[in-house]
Amino acid sequence: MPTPLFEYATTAMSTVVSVQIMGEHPNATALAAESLDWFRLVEASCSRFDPASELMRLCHAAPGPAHVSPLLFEVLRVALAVAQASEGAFDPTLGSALHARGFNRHWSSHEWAPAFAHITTGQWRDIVLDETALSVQLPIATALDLGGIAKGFALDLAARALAGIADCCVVAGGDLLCRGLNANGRPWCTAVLDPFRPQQAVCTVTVGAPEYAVCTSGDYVRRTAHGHHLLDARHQHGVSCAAGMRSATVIAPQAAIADALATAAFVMGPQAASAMLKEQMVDAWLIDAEGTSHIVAGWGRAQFIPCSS
Amino acid sequence: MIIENGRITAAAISRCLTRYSCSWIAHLQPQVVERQSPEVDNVSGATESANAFYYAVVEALKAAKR
Repeated sequence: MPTPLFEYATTAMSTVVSVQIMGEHPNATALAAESLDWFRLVEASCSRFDPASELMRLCHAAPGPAHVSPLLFEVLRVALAVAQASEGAFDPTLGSALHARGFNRHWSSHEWAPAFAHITTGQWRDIVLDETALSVQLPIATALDLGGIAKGFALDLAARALAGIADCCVVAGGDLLCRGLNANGRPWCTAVLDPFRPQQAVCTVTVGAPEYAVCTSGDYVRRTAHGHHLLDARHQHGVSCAAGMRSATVIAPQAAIADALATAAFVMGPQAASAMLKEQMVDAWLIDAEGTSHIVAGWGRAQFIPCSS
Repeated sequence: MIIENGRITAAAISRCLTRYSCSWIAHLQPQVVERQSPEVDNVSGATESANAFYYAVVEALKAAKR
């Protein structure tokens, strides 16, 4: 007998976010609201498209250390750690490059995002974080963009708000965090979309862990006339759209890590990404530009079943 | 080191968990979901935009009215 599955949904961070709760719980609606509210809070703090966000105020602050909220501090701290682990394939300082490529309007208000005077890259290396003072010092003209990690971080926070619920799933536009079992009392099963035929799945994944995140970075949805949003800024000749991959799906215990590592993996291409993901002890299904799939078993918990087409 | 074994080592998440009040609880209504595919619970892919979702709903409604 399947358990009823209650779903609460709203829009935030330019996508649909939802909470799925198995069975009846006395405070389910309040918990779901608190959980989904994290997406709004993280967006209000970390959005590049809102001139009033804490992130944009930090970018335009006077030189020197600036005090920030614990939320923004921790997102930046994890972002810089992933930038380091991926040697800049994940770069949280590509705001001006993304803006110049047409990722420059707020998703719901359609208002223009604040522009940056210069196009800069790679400045993550010179960002100074002070944990005691909770302050951030940016190099001049740093244009932060946390698009590759903020949603994952919000997923982790949203899941924490559901701490008392044994079986649930939080979904944020293609990224998700699963806990416990699904409505049939079985492990959650997630389909990974085929970047060449996005209405179809390339594989399904179940994971032998009580809680885990599945996050995908792909080039097949968000595009402007200048190409997609997964930029490679590691080269001397400037910023380019990463070309070696079509899709990178990462499975990790936490969504902030899975989200940022998926972005890094996409930029690195299949070979370098496989080594990096293994070192980070996460699992992944990567699809390269030719359509070949590469499985990474750095965590060893994900079971992928390819879909026959 | 802040990342280890695919996890954030520091208490980064808990540090952010200041309580905020949500004013929109009253507006949030659950829907009981019936899965179309018995095997798959959810889908992971490149982030669909909320606008695309909106238009998909509009298209579905149009199709239903036909």
